[in-house]
Amino acid sequence: MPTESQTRTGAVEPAAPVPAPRGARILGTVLLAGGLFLLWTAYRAADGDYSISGPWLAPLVVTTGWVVLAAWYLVTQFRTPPRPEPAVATESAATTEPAATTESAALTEPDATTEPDAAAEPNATTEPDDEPVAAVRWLPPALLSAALLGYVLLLDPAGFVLASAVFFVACARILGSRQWIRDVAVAVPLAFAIYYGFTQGLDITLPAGVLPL
Amino acid sequence: MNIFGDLLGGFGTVLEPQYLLYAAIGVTLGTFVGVLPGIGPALTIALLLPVTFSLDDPIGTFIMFAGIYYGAMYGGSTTSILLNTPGESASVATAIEGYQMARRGRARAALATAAIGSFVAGTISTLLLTLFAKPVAALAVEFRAADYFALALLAMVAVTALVGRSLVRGLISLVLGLFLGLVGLDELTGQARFSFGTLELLDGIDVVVIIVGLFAIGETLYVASRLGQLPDRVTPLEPVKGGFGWLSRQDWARSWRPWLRGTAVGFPFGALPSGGADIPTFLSYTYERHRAKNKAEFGKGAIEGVAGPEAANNAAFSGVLVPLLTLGIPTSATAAVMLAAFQIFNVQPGPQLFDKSPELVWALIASLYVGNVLLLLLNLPLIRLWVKVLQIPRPILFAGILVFATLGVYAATNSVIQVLIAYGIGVLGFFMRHFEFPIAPVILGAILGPMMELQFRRTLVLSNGDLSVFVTRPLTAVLLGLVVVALLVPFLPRIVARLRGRPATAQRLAFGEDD
Amino acid sequence: MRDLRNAPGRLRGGSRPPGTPGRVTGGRRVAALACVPLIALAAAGCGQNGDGGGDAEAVKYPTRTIQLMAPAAPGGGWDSTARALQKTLTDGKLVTESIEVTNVTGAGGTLGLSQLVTKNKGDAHHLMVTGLVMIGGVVTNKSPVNLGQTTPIATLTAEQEVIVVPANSKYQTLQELMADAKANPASINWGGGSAGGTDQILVGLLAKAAGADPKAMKYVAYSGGGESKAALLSGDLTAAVSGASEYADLVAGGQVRALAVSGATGIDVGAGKPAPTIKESGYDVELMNWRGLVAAPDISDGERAAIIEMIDKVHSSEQWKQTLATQKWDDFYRSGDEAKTFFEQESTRITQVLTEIGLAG
Repeated sequence: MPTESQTRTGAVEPAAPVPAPRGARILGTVLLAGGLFLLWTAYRAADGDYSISGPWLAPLVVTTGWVVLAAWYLVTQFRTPPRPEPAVATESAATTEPAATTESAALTEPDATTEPDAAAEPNATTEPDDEPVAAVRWLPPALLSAALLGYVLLLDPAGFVLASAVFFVACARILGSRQWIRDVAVAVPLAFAIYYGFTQGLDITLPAGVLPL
Repeated sequence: MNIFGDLLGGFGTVLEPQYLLYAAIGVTLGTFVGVLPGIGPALTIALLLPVTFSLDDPIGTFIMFAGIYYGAMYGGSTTSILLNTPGESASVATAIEGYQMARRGRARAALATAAIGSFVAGTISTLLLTLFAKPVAALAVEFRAADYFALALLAMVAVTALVGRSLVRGLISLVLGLFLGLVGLDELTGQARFSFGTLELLDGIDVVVIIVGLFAIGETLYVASRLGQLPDRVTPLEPVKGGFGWLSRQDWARSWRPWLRGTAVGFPFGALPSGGADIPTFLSYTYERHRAKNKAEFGKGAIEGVAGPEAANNAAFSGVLVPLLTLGIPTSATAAVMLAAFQIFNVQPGPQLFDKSPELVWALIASLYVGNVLLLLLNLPLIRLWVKVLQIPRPILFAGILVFATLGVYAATNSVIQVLIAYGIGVLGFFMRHFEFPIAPVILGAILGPMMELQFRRTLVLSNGDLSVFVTRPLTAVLLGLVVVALLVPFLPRIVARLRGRPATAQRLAFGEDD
Repeated sequence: MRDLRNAPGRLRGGSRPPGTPGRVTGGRRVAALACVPLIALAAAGCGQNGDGGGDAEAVKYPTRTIQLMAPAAPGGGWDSTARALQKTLTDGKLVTESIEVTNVTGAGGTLGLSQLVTKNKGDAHHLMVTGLVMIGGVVTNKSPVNLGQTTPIATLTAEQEVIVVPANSKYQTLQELMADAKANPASINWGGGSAGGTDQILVGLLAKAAGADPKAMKYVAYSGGGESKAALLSGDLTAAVSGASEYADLVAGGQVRALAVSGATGIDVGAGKPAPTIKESGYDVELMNWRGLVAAPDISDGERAAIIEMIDKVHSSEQWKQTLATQKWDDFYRSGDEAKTFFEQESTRITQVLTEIGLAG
């Protein structure tokens, strides 16, 4: 298979650190607003029914918890000194992170600061330490989201095969591929294979769309 | 000895070439389907149900179904390990360490421990099913709503280690999961909650949709935002070091105990009428983490964290068959579909099944053994092929993941709206990764939250609102006592130290570790 | 010992040898394709005995692929009904075009219903499987569309409901159970399927007939038959309501006792002899969990007649009779205007009882 030599053009971009806690503060505010809206929704729907076996106790408890936690998160973001955007530099995250929660989490995490190895999240939210530091790029995920939206909206009118093939090629391009021919050569057979595999093999109906299938 | 005689008879049936072929077809088909996110064994078997009409062969059908189940479970863990895209809740725990192993070039070892662990757990639990089906079932139906509530609470407390390094972020993730679990019709009263007037949200948000969104789609968006700093290929592969089945001697030494412990937790949970396969995988993961000598390795690809959950997952299936075969009680989606299949062949699972249709039952049980062996035989050599997935250029690989994720949700729900919900959750997953929120608590909240709420309220309705039922039943009281203990354990060193008049030392026993 | 390979409930699905699932499913498609050369012939046949009503023009139907919607997930009752219909139609070469089954899951079938009523309006090639549960779903989910907006075609199958108690229960008859339910509703824990579903409807109807307050009945909903079964055995429930075949093995094994069934005549639900009906126990209640077929709204009379005729052919086919036997479905066939009346009657009755239970609010 041909190599993907051109995907790394992004590495040339300057690795400028993003202004520190602004993103997290925006997130905290959004979380708080969302929590308040959901709490209000639950409160209105409950309409005075707070019985312990009724359907509205759990929603009220959960949304209240949400609001409290969002407020807590927001407060920690304002109280801590600015730190680099988390995933940008994992090395520093390890040392600054415990500070973010010392105040309130001290009870349950008594020795968070004494663990020198507290680096990686279990879900791969951070890169291994040996990988280069680079800026977060917002354009590719935004484009990808737009492509996904277009894909699902085209699925019914254009049909599975056509929509998938076009989406696949667009998606590969957004993710850095510059080899049209290879992408098309993968996308088209794949789309047909899935379509026939599902409709004939599993009897799951997929939209045929404009192609005479 | 009677049991063994019957079992031998079962083997006699199953080892006919035509049935071996069915088993092989099942395992292969299951593996391919399991690789697709969102399409699990239940859907596959449901779709093949009409086909079984024409097969006209109940034994062959069930042999194939057992193969599909095992294959799908293994296929699901393969993608969890290689690509961090679990397709159903039971393989989320595997993804945590498995994907980290793959990132560090240890994909072969992770896949091998998963395959061998599944085989070991499958074989032991099938043996347990063979010997103890009836007594286990009799115990399992003793569980009442109050006990299920206590059990769910215990599981929730036990697995809080997944909350991760930052308490507030972990709890926000958990609350998010709890909230997603609330959306839709309330099961007890039929009232719509957080559906905002739409019919689409009335059935709630399927855990599979949440998983596909958070993992497959969220991960892809995250990768897209960090293209510049990633190498061309996903993961370099560590050279094979020798040792049988791609496991080094050390890997074997570290894997076998988690396999056995995973089996021990998976089988009984599967046998509970409200158990299932996902909770024991999380429990096993947490437990392995506690026991690990080198805790720092957890979160960076500890093989125990793959071996345990995979074994638990597979053991749970034999557990699920206990109430299905002995009482006709399906405890998972797959079991429900298998029950439907039984009925098509005019076989009613229940107390009399072993007497009325011994040939079928023992052939089914024998086919579980055979399915396990076949799975191992097919998959160990296939590891070589699977890891090739990691050699695919990144744009092609992730474009493929997005197409398959969309396909999985669309094929399972036939609804563009559900796909959009999965996308929305995917965007959420992207931001969670960006701001370092852990993902696993969301899944946990969405699974355990509804179970806790429902069983709690059921208990109160059944007892006419009397809260004392939670302490008057011995089983419930014991389980709730364990909850208290689990909550206190992390503080024990501190409490003991304080009692002795010394400041707390930096050691904890349970959760909140350095992940 | 019974030879399972020759179990009575088998279906002769053509002469296919057992093979891979892909081949067999593909075979169905092949069967559909094989019909194509017959189009002209069959269409001519259609024209000759198209309709007896006189007011409708004989039309050619189907002219393209029929979309048969099962408004639930694969594997459930509606899905198996749809797939059985599909199989009977294509295997028996009763139609010239192929038939695709689509699953639209959600909200007790009302999601599928709203799709049929709004998106597929006037398109005779869109059919949907329906049933009693959907009427309940329309009421409890406050659905903006209802079954009356579709074009009724036929009712197809039905299943009786059964009321069971654990073997060690003090209740030997339905009268004893209902007497306590009336005197002290809080002492009886009823359990069954989802809220507003067939099982709860039956409890409501029964309470009403016994002179008790339907709203006071303590009904605990469980998802799927398995969970309520476990709850009955664990002692959480006093009595459980379910589809008649669900408890057959537990009744036969002596773990539970069937008090009554909900149909017009008593059937054997595992005890070896027919269980009494609710009517025989002294309460004027009859409830069948029926399934039927509707078409999209606003189709022409001719198209409606053609679809009814097509389903008539299904009903009289040998394969359909075998399917009913295999699946243990009772034949519950009413077509055309008869079905229309039945849908309307059930709609009124179910809406009323759900309102009385307090689920329609």
